[in-house]
Amino acid sequence: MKNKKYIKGFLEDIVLHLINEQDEMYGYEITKKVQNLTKGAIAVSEGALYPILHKLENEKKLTATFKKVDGRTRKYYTITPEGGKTVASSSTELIDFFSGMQQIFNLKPVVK
Amino acid sequence: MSTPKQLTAEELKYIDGFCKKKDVCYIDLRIELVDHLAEMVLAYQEKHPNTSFHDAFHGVYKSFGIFGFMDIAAQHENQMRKRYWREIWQYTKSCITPPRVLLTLSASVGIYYLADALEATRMPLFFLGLALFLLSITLTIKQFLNNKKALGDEQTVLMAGASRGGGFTIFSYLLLYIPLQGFWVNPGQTNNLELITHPIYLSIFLVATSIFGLANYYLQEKAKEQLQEIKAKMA
Repeated sequence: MKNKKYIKGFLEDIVLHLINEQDEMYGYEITKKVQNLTKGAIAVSEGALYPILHKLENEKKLTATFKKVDGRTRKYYTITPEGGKTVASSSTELIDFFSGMQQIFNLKPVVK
Repeated sequence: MSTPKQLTAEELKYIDGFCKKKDVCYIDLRIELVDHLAEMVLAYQEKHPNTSFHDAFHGVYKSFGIFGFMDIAAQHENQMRKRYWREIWQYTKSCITPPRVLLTLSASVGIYYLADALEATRMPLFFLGLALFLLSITLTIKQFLNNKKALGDEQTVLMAGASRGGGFTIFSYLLLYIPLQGFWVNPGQTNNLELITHPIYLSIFLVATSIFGLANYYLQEKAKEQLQEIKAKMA
């Protein structure tokens, strides 16, 4: 599923969830993590990721620190208590949402 | 086990220069893009070991589409503009403390009564306000140029905001431009003169001008701190 229209609505939750799972993450790491977890089914573009990261940082759901790694500066994002609250509430909402989608589409796991 | 390949300082400098050329003027965004592109180049070279840095770099840059970094930079600027206004609002809120409110009100009332007592000679008070306004703009520009000289041509959003932010425009437009416009267009029309020398207008104008000057000074200093902090982490 590389269709942007599906990813767009969930990207904020995906980013917050992944950063919440780890202590800190940086942009490229997030794109790779999504790619690895979904075995390439979901691709997050840089053009979509960075504006979301900056928006969340602006909303104080993420904080950023700069660290020197391999001769270059890297911006790491960490979740804030405010971001943690969003993760908790969106998880419940997502479960309800997907259960609703399940009802509509009668989705079955694909057996390969 | 061999150590993973890393980009050289020259290669990183090339990516940084490339981003600058593509109008990614904000240092914090450029740091992220340089790191991201460096990772992409390394991943590309791992897959295609015989590819040169330049070929790998321009190969990965193509994946950003025909508009390149334009969209990311535009959205970053948009987010940062919001942040600039939030900073201004937070600063304003922090100023709303009982002693400061009392001081502002006292200053406003004091100027009001002074203007009222002067009656026929209020014009000097208006020119004092105008002088304060021009002084705060001059000092802000001077402070910005000094910061730029000390910190190079790097920009953070606060710095860009404080130098070209809408604050100047809105403030000058509302407090200065509208009443004065009528006066300059038709100097014979004394209604406009009465407006700009009215005690209420004068008290608001003088107090707001002083607050505006202080807010801009604060923003410039904060911008300088922010940039120094980023630069220190980059060193």
